[in-house]
Amino acid sequence: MKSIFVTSFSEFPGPRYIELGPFSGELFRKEVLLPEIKASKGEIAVVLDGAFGYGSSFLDEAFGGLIRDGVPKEIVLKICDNLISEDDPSLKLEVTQWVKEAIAHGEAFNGNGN
Amino acid sequence: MRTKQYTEGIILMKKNLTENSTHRLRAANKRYRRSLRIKGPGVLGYVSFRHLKPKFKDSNLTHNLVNPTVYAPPQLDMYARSNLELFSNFLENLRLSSKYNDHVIISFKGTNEITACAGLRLLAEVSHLLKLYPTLSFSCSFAKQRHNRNKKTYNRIEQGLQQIGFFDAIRQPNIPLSRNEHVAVWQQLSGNLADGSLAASLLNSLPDSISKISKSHLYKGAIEAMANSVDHAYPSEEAENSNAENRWWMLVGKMQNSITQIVCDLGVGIPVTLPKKHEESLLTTIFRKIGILGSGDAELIHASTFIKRSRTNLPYRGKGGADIRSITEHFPSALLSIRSNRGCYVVAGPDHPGIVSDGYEEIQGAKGREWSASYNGSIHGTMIEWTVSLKDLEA
Repeated sequence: MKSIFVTSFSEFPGPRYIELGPFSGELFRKEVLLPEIKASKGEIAVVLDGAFGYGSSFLDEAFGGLIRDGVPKEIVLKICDNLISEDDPSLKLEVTQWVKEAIAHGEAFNGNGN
Repeated sequence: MRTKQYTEGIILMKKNLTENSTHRLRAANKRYRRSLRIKGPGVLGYVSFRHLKPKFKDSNLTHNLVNPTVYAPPQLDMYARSNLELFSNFLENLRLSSKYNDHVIISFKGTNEITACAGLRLLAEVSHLLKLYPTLSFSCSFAKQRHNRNKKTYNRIEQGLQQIGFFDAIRQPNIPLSRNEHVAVWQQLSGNLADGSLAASLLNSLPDSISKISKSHLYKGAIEAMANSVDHAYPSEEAENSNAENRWWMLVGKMQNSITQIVCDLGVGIPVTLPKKHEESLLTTIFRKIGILGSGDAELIHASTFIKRSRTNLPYRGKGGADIRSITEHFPSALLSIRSNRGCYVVAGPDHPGIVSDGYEEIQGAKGREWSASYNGSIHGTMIEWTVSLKDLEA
């Protein structure tokens, strides 16, 4: 399993979208997570430790965004299970919550026939 | 009684508080109000348009009228409701004078107190005006100080303005700072992107005793507040703010026993963006769920802290409000205030001693942890401020 260190991306994770500021969740998803998921077939462990902190928007866009980008929910939930966050264990729960919300929303959306 | 935040948030208190000081303060406030009133209707009174726009030769014009002076109130403060209204009136004067003059003098001669929140808001205003009117310049006048032999001394208002970078903003020479351990130490930054490294640089200026996880929680609130300013505060359809560059201003300060962080923007304000971003039915549901009565600015600000959806109605946007609110969950001693346009919403953590402030009303059903206030004047923007005790931060 390949380890992905967020600090290699930035020590200062930024806002949700690229246009809002540097090192956004969107940029992390597009430039780091998606290529690594593709290359490692989802066998990755994202290490959140070492960064200054995370806004919820960054986490939601980076990880919840995977669901919205069409990555299978099994893979994304596995990434959540493999998250490493020893500095602040609550981050792991938070990421999982955003991912589950994205899954629930996606299912509701599809269930409505849209 | 004043809020704890009010007390601790004061950068520089007026000289010695004596038994008579309250009376003097009241008298000064009264004089200031009267000075506004006797000038006649409107915020600028009888100062006529031609005096405000001295672009023509008029031998009757005096120097003062060519360069109108805007008088700051006795207390530059946004915590007490009555002070905030005077302060917003002062900002209104400043805006109008700046519109019609190339040079504006801000007189702080009658000012004896400045709080961090008001200082930051004033800084934001002059920065914005200088950008809006490129030929505009400001200068300031202060109450005279005694001279120590050949060395000039500076009053506390000057010192406070210096600390928040006010003189840099108006391109005036800086003054030497006299360090006093009883006076808060402030660091200020501004930007037009939600740049985490800027927020971190301010937080790194705080004492090393503050734990890493505490700094990460402060960072979380700061990055979301900055992003909200960039993303939501200046909707593109608001042409009036097209020159504002989605700018935010942030202040971090250390007092004796606490840390205060303030993020300010001059956007259209939460009470304007919220109804535009969300369907009425959603707002009604939230209002009902959290028991909000009324739909004034304070109530809309209160509701915004529970909303996760954005103006595009995508359910995966706009989680910043909850992050900002979570400060009081991570830090039981915290006090969070959100001021926007004509309203204010305050929420305290469970260990906060609670506040009873003039002009603030306790929100029913909130167990004495939440308050709101409505103002007659608008602050024209949003200010998010939280104060956390060092005890909590060092844990």
